[in-house]
Amino acid sequence: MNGDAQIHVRIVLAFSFQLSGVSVCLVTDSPILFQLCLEYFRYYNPVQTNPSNQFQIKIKLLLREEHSLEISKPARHVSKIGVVELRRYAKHLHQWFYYRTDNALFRINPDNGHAVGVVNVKALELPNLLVNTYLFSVLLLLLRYQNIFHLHAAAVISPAKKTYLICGAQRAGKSTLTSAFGVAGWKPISDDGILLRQDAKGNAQFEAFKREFHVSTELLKKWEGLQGLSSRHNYFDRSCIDGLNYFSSLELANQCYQKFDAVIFPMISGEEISSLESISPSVAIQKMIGQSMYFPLGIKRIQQHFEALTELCGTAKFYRFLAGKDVWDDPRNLLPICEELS
Amino acid sequence: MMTQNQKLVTKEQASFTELIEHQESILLDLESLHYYSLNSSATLLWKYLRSGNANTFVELNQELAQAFGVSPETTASDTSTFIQKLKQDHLIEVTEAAVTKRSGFVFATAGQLSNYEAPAVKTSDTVMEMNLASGSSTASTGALGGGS
Repeated sequence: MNGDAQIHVRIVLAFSFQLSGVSVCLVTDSPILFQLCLEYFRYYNPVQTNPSNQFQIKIKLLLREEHSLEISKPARHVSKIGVVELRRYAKHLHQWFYYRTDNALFRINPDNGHAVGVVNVKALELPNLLVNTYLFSVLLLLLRYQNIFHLHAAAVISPAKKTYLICGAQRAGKSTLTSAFGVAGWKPISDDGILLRQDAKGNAQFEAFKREFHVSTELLKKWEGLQGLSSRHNYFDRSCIDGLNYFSSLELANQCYQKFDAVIFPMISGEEISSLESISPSVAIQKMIGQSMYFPLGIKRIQQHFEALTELCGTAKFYRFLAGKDVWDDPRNLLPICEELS
Repeated sequence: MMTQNQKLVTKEQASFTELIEHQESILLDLESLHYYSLNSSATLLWKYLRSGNANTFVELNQELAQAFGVSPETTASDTSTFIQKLKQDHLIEVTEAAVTKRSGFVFATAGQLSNYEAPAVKTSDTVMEMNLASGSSTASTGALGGGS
């Protein structure tokens, strides 16, 4: 041993919180990633790191310089869309998923709820994409194996405490419509996603996935009803805003709900006046499945996911919202539609 | 060739949900992920099959006719077409084994149903396509699915 021996100190930062009844812990050696995680999950109160043997989802994030993101095992292709790829490796009773993007690779063990992600520094060029899309998607995969299922939909509570979902693909107008409802006096509890699960008695329920709202920067400037809001940061042409506090809906976002009263599919019509039209429930539910992350994964999960979704839809009404210029010009023009929905 | 008294059973790995207020139901084949919508008469027949309360062509046709207050002769051809459709899509099969009865099914009585329409099973596209990413996405990741 010579006198040049070095002591390596590795910083480990951890953040634990409860999400949909499950304990989640994020661990990282990077202060930057830690800060991003804290901001993204800012509506979830930190709790003590799990001291007992209680099940806990644990995601470890390692920030590395130009690390190889090759998948070493002969993992089977599951799906690939754009830059995102999912593979599965199974041997005997064990299985792992590999979730790979251009700048990050996660190895996920859904059975014990653990995932490790290697993130190349280049991913920090789009920090929100890293957390808001990649980390979030890995978390949703782990939640799926705890029978907690995702639906890509905004949710709004009416003054009569009825629950309205706004479902659709990206750029369909979910966030705009959600904000319009907020300005019109309804309470948006999520502008992007909800989580479905069964309660202890086996009844389906849902809750908001709490995060910042992402509204178009143009809208933030245009609508008087959003004037008091400031953008926490920008995300391409979107402004990230504290919608839950601004619309005073955080308390409602902390609650669970037992049904959807109506599900609305927005579509920009280009007409002057907005309108609603009914659509068939079977068509609507199929659209909702199309907006459910990982739906085709695991036959038992598919069944539970489908049953939870359809149970919540049991007495719902389904509409297509043909968004006209009137609501874009002034969100208060949504009031007649609100009355029609009520 | 199916005979009128062959016993039929539904595929175990099929999930069924009745949307009572809308008088229709949806069926998901959990293996193929094919998605079906059923009108009220098709819903009634599926429930009889699934519950084990009627398992042959004759029994099914009888229940259908009775529920809608029409003669079995009126519904016979429609019942046969419905059974053929389910067989073709591997949602039912012929069995020699004893059929297990299941509880939890509620059947509409005469007068609760709307006017008779032939059982219709509409096959939609498969729901096999998978979203791999959610949350806000951008033009560069537009193909990910999900996003604000």
